[in-house]
Parts: sequence; C-alpha cells; structure tokens
Amino acid sequence: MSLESLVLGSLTSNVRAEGNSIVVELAGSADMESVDILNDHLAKLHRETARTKTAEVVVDFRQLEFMSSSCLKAFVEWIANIQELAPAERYHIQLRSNPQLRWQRRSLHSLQCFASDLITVVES
Amino acid sequence: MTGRVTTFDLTFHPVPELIAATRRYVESVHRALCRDDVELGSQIAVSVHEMLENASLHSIDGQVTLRIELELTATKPVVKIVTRNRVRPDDAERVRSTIREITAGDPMRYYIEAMRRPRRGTGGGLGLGRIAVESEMKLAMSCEGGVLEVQATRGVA
Repeated sequence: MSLESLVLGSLTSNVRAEGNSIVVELAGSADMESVDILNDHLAKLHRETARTKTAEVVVDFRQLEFMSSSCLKAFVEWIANIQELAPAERYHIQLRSNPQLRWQRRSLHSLQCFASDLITVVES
Repeated sequence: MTGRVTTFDLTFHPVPELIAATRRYVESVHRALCRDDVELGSQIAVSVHEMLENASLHSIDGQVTLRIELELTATKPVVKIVTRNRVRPDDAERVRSTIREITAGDPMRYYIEAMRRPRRGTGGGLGLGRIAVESEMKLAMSCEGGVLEVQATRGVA
C-alpha cells in the first residue's frame, strides 16, 4: 500500500492494510490547523482505496481527543467523493468511536446521517 | 428559583494551541460542575471551540473575549456562552445570515445542507450548525460599533 501515515502537530494518522480493509487510526486533535493536510490525506486515501478496490475503510477515532467542524468538513468531502463513484465502485466506511469521548457519538452520528448507506458507526 | 452561578471570563488572542487549551479546561470544569448531565460538559466544550475558531478567524485585531455562564437550578442547567470580537461589516452580516437560516427552520436540515455546500474558506456555517444540533443550543448575535457578539444558550427563558 502506497499511502503514508501522517504526523501534523497534535494530529497523527496511522494507516495500514488489514485483510480487504484499510485501517486509519487517528490520534491527537484535529482543528483548523489540520484541515489542509487532512484534506490531502483523505484524497490520497480515496485514490488508494479505489485503486486497490478495497471493500472497506475503517477510521478509528478512539484516540482522537477532538475534531473541529473544519475537519469534520474534510470527512464530509471525502464521503461525497465516494458517493460520486459508480455504485459498484463505492466502498464502505466503518467509524470506530470511543464512548468516553462524548463528542464522537454526536459528530459521528451526524456523519452517518449524511451518508447512512455508506457508513456504520461502531462504539467500543 | 435562582441556583448556583459559575462564570468564566477570558480575553485573549486565540491561536489553535490556546483554543485547544481553553476547550480542555472548560470541559474539565463543566464536567465537574454538571455531574448530573454527563453530555453537557462536552457540549459546552465543543461550542466554545467552534465559537473561538470562528471569532479568531474574523477578529480584526485578533482579540476575542469569551464568557461562559452556568447556572445550576433545581431543574435543568442554564448555559450562556458569548464571544465578542471586532469584525468587518461583511463578516457580521454573514454571521447574521447564517444564524437567521439556522433559527428560521430545522437546525438539523440546515446542518446537513451545510455539510453538502462547497467549502467557503471563511468557516462558520458548519460550526454554528454543529452548535445548534450537536450541542443543542440556541444561537443569537448582535453587532454594535463594529463589535460582534455571538451567543449560544440553553435553558435561557
């Protein structure tokens, strides 16, 4: 897999292949400083997932302390790019949330409302 | 009935690191104060972060004043979060228009529509929608003498 992990200030993203999934583990804090590089990271993730015909991307938020709306928008744009693919080429997204970080339940639910056919939220 | 009131005031020049530090402090304090409402401390923290990011983006001189009032009554907590900063008239008008759009209809519908809209580069629309929907707060604004005041409240009569 050609996708690189990411470190930007307090935000890190570790990417690995797991079976027919790509797992993205986020940690730290994603705020307005992280937007541009997160957008770029998610665009590369989208290209790599489509290229390798991966069935599912798992985004693990459990170590992500906080995400501002500017970064939430980056995820929305990524999801919108998946919605633009032909139905057979779309891939599924699983979002893993941490029940102790209470913003995650609310914000990941909002993302799910945006694309309920593509997204599953798993709390653990 | 008047309950116990806790007030937090801060005037500063917020940069991302300071906004994050303020959010952590505010969440910690309000979680301790609102033990009967486990969501509220987090909802206040999210609102504070979004409001400070917006204010810092549009403040002419970089300075922002934040005030948080929490009143613990016999029934439900009363929360009022206020940011004040100097702005250009067009930024104040954009905030007025966004809050009018959120409050005139269904905030959830606004929020989903704001997600679909192309990024404007100036921020604000999605963050204010997030406060209304995820933090379940009412939004209001005023602008006098070039100073924009944005309010997010819950339980205010």
